[in-house]
Amino acid sequence: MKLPETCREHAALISSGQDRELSAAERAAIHVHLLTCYGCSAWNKHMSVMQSTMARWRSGE
Amino acid sequence: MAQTAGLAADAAASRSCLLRFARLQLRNDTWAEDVVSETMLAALEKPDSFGGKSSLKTWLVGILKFKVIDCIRTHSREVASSVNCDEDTELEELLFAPDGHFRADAYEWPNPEQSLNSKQFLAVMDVCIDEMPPTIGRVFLMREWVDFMTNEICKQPSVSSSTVWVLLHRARLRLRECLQQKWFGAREQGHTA
Repeated sequence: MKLPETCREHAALISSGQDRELSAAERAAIHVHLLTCYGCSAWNKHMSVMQSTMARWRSGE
Repeated sequence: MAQTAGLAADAAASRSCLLRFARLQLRNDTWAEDVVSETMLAALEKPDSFGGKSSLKTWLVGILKFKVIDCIRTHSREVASSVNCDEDTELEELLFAPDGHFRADAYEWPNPEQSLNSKQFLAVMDVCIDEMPPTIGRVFLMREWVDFMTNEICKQPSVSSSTVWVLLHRARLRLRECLQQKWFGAREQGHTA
């Protein structure tokens, strides 16, 4: 599988991490990218906020 | 008997919530009304299976999910024909520059925990999901609400796993923009004003 290069590709891969198991190489690529990329770090954080929100939303309370 | 009557009244109180979920997922008012009625019937026919371990609403939502899945399966052909994988292709072009960088500066979402406890925030979430284009919204809810795994979603329309991942990603990009616009960004402005 082709590893991500741009932010656009990293953002898509971070998203896919919620739907499938990422390979070790993919996880490593994301990890390294997040160290230096502010935009993708924000995306990563926002994804987890959205995940928690969906959990709350799902419960219908 | 009195117990069943009490359950019926409590269940009726949850009806609007169930209908909201069903509408968002099915995007068809008639189907939504049907699955909610079936859910109510199923609940009233088997009141004993409500063990009181969870809240009544949670129990009903659990039944509703099965009814929604049944409904999607029954109408699979209609659902499949309405799937549009090319929906929202321009979204990524809007958010990312040709070199693949985010176009806009990253924004902060301060105190997300506080938002999570806000009813208004969850209402904004509703609006954002409702505003998603139909295919993306439906696939997103199959994944997030019905808890379908990608391979189960793929059984529905003739869609490959990678297409589903793309659609889910677009849904999340959209959701983030919507939450930023309607909640986090709006609050920031309120603070500085």
